[in-house]
Amino acid sequence: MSDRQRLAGMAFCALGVAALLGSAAAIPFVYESQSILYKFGADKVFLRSGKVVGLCSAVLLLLQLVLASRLSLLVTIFSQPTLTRWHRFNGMFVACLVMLHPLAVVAAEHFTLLRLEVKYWPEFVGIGLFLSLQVTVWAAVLQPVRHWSYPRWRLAHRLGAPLLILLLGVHLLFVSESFVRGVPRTAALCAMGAWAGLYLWVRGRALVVGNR
Amino acid sequence: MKKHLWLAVLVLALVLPAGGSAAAAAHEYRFDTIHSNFYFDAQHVFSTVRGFFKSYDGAVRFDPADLAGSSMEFKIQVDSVETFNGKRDTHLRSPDFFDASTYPVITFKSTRITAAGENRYNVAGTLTIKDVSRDVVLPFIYHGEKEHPASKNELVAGFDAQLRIDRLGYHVGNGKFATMGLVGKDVTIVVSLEMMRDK
Repeated sequence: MSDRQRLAGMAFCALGVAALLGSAAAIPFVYESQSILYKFGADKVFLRSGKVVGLCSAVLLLLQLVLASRLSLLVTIFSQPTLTRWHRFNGMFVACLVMLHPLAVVAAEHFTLLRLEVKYWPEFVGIGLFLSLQVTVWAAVLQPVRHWSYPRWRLAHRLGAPLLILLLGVHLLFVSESFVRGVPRTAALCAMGAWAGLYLWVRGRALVVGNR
Repeated sequence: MKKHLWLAVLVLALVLPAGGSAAAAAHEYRFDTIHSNFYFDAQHVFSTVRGFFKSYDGAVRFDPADLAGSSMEFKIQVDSVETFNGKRDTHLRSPDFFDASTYPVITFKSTRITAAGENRYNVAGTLTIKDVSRDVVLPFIYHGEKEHPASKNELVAGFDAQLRIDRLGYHVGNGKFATMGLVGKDVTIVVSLEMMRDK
């Protein structure tokens, strides 16, 4: 691939990621949930910001598989070490960014905390997702530092990824009225489906080729 | 003479009811919490949204023959509010409405119960919501008392009451939703109680 083609590929990928993030960030503005309608002033800003941060984190989390999938076209454009580096950085970035999501959402309710009731189960799934994400990311950071077994860590990391995406899908589709129907729900389901398809393809390829 | 005087005092002491036993004539009830409710109805644009409080406590003493010795006191846990929508319930518990963390309890304490017709009574008392206490009159219907159909050792009594209040008078909301026509300022409180006591 020529440098020009490589640059064009990089630009296309960057535009694609920007489009995905922009589309996700637009959902709380274009497809307002009922909860936003009852907020005013700073509360509305907090809630919208929390939703934007959450959705952008979701997109970046889904892209983690793309960065780790060793797709030949991406490897040609960016090189594998670069993709691996971005995978690590993106993981840490999402883990930090997503902390703002519950903070902003709860701030919109003047820090009125949830009660331990079944009706808040989508929010509790979100808490489970948040904790699982933190464990996944920081275990990856600590693995070389603490000299944990690399094969074991990698197995847990690769098995944990679908769990994260499953929790993400459930949380996203049930926590907000924006995703009850229409374009946001269809887009979310398509994204989950595409992720699942890519995951199966990557795992299948690994089994067939016998790669690491 | 002195002996007769002491005898008269003794007889009077035995015959005349003491202050404590006059109050004891009014039956003391306990809540059947499974069949009692404190509801509230609020207007939303066109529809009525009904909610209730799941957790409450109180003391009810009532006897139609001894209204002076009767009393009602309710303590409602604000954070037990339930409207079957998690986000709405969280909003209700927030400072925008009930501010449950600062004002965890709604209380009503009766000062006087008077008769108002057949099986109808008025309970005058103080209703406290958030930082506001107001004197209100809660009219209720007393459905009577009978042996509990499922528990022969217990008596059950029924009370139904309804009261309309201006929530803004109790600082429940700042008026913005009412001005917008989203949430009405008048709220109807419906109290439906089944109270039990041992035979």
